[in-house]
This record gives sequence, C-alpha cells and structure tokens, in this order.
Amino acid sequence: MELSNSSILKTTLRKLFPFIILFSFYMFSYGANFPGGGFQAGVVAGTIIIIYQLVFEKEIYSNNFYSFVEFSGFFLMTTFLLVGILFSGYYFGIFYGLQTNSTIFSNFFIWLLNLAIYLEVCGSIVLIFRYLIKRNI
Amino acid sequence: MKRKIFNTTIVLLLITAFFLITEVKQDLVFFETCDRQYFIELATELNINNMVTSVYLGPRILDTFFEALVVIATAMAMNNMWRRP
Repeated sequence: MELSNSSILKTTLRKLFPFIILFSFYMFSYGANFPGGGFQAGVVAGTIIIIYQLVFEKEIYSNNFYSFVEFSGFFLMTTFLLVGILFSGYYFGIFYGLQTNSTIFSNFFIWLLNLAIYLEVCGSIVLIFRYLIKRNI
Repeated sequence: MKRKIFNTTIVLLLITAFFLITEVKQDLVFFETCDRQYFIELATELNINNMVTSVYLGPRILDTFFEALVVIATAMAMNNMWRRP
C-alpha cells in the first residue's frame, strides 16, 4: 500500500501539519529556558515537510527556497561571528550581553542563534532528502 | 553564473571566518574542573535556564558553527555531485 492511498494519513496530516510547524517554532523560541533548541526544532520542521511530500506527493516550495533558508541561517551565524571578532576580538563576544527579563528573549542573542540553526537545519534536511529521492535512493 | 558567484561568496566568507578564528587567542577547550557549579554559573551568566543550550551556544559555540558548516557542505555536495554536466 502506498502512502498516498491512505486517507487516514492524509486526513491526520492535514489537521496536524500547522500545529507541528507551530511546535517547531515553540521549540526554537523557548529553547533557551525549556527543553528544545535550534537543532531539534529544525529536525521537527524538516521532517514534517518531508512527510507531507511523501504522503501528498507534492512539494512545499522549491529547492531554491530551502537553499535560501539554509544559507540565510548560516549567513546569520557567520555575520555574528565576524562582527563579534571585529568589535571585541572574541568570536560572538559582544552579543551575549543582550539580555532581558522576558522568557523568550532572556538572552536575545541565544534566541537569534537558535533561529539561525533552525533555519539551517530545516533547509538542509529537506534538501538532502530531495536530492536523495531524485536519485531513487 | 549566479550560482558561481554565490558559491564563491560563501567560500570567501568561510576562509575569512577561519582566518579570524585562528587569530583569536582564546581557550577553546573546556577547563579541567567542569563541575555542576560551573554549569550553573554559566547558565546564570547567560540568563538562561537550559544548561545544554548554555554549553553548546556558549563556550562550545565554535563546535556548533562547524557542525552547521558540515550540514551545509553535505547539502551543497549532494547537489553538485548529481548534477547533469
């Protein structure tokens, strides 16, 4: 039985998809103070996009979009690295002091790093999967 | 042409980052006495409660950066390896 023939899978996925994406946003946003983080959130988001593609046999956005997402995350990290070194002599040095009293932005820089890692991992996972199935592996 | 420019920019960024990292004289290894109190103080200093996050985005941030680099390199290599000539 193929995945696309299962109405249970299709119905369940259609209902759960937005909540799982929202959960991945929660994981990277609250990753500084609760279990989670950028890597876990990126894997959750990338996996649900892959499952959607397997069940519905339809791609959500093109490969170029995920390449852009992936490189934007990496570009964000590299920018912080270089700016930190240029201004303080320590990699990422000056940014750790961006702290507030809120739960999400208790350390704003950690939140930005989690965002960068989330974008990168999500984009990479989807791209690697698509390149693999293109070669029927 | 666009892809060549894009890839070249990424490579130049990475070389610059690598050069700057090697010039920074900072202790890259954990201290010998890494006890519970050290991690508590680290999390308090960064104002976050998750000790795992405080480690991999704190003193071990370079490990995280290069791990992200490996993931990107994997995706780029798979794209270029199976491209038609």
